[in-house]
Amino acid sequence: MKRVVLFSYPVFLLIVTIFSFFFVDTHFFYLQWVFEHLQLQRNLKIFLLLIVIIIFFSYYVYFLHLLQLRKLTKREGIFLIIITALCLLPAYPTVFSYDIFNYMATAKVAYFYKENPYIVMPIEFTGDPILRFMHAPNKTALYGPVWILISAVPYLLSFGNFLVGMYLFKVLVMVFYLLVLYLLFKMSKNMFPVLFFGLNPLVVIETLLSGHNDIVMVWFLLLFLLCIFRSKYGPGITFLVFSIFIKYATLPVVAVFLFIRKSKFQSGKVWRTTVLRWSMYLMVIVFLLSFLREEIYPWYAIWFLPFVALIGSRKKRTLAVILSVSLLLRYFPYYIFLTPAGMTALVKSLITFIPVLTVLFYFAISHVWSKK
Amino acid sequence: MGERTKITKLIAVILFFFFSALASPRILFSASSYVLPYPSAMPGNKTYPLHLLEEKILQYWYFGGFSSIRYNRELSDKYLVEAKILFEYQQFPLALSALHTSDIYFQKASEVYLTQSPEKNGMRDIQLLLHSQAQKHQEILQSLIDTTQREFVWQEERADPVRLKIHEELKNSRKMRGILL
Repeated sequence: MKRVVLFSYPVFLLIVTIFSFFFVDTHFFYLQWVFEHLQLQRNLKIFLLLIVIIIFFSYYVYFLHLLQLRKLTKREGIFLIIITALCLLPAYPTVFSYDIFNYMATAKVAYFYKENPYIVMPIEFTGDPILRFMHAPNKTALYGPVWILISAVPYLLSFGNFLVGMYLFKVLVMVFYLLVLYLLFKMSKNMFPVLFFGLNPLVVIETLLSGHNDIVMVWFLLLFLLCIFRSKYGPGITFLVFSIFIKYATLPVVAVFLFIRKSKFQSGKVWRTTVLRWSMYLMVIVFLLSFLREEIYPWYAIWFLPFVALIGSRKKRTLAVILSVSLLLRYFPYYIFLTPAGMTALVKSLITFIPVLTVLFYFAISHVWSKK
Repeated sequence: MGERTKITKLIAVILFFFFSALASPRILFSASSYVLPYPSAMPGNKTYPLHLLEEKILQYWYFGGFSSIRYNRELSDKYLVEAKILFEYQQFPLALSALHTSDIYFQKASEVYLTQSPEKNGMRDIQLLLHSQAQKHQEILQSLIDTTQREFVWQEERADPVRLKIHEELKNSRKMRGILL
């Protein structure tokens, strides 16, 4: 059974990769041929997407189950990680989100037009082909200067070729995904956190498929914590600043740094766990408050999932998995209603929070019950 | 001073300047027709020197052709509005000074525009924007010519009187903007 599942997983991932090309946009003229030849009825696409998510989570839960039973070796775990990264690398990235085009447009504003992307919006370069398919050209750069500096690498290496640039951005994100997993292993000396985070379908879809840059921010954050744990404050602060200036979301972690400075004990497992726990709580709070800015986007869960993987209890991990499912389901109301207004917002909120609240309620009941 | 404290202070300074730049007020325009901004702090206001300092600092933030055009265009608008209000309050020397500053920024915006490649995407929109700005400025300047006196003799304390040729200055500014039309 295990062998069959292990070998069917890459096949499934390749099917997902092929399926992603059914989502090529009408206006994405670079893949016009794909758009013309790979078409499916909208409802069927939505249904298949739902099936993909269900299968993804089924594999995920099964792999975690195997790991807990010690039936999955470290080697097999690494195989799963690498195969996931490689199989999804060629996938078309805008199945769920068009953010990768925003990254590319911002990089183009900075490095091709040599303008300040915090002042000039991509839409101001009327006639630029990228405006035909990107979804938010009327916004100045949303990300920090460190991200804009990092994005120079894939942009400049693409030599102006859009498709090459798109895949180089995906490669960049994939590299940071692997680096995050390496840090998780270094911090825990255990494969469970690595696979809990690395094979989570939400992380996989949002990072390896959609190419979101949150993983880069998380890598710098983990690097900050690792440096702090080794009493290397100078590099630690630098990495925290880098992390903040990727997407600003890690700014509250400065509070953790202040706690560390005030703390009497600056070593030991208990102290390290406390630091990680507070980092997790702060990132969860930022995640929950993100609706104040726009809305809670599914990929924001990447901010706290590494901490849940590292120090989360069984209940917290269960909640994280349920939340991951709910967050990925948030995409569906829009696909069904085709508008962000009206019922969509309400249904999205219900989808996100009802399963989590139900599980929390169940935990509370079972806690009370066990005390009796 | 410890190495850590130094790094922390340096980071605090960088963070302060970055967020100051992000938090600085921006002048917004409607896309359909050219709209001048609301008046900012006037000379004599305690915050006026801070606004001048902010302008000096922000010129480095507005790097790049389009950004630079925007920076100069927005400041040209800002000082024209300032001049208009000062004319209305009959603060003629200050009004003429603001008018000159507006002229300088308008000139700079035009110069940067001319250094840009005409093939660059978005240049047509910039051209139209500068054109409608020049038109709007000319309207304002004409209304000032119609409503202010031709000349004014201004005398500072313990100084010789100065004849301010208001109409001549306004006409020069209007003519300069006419180059773009």
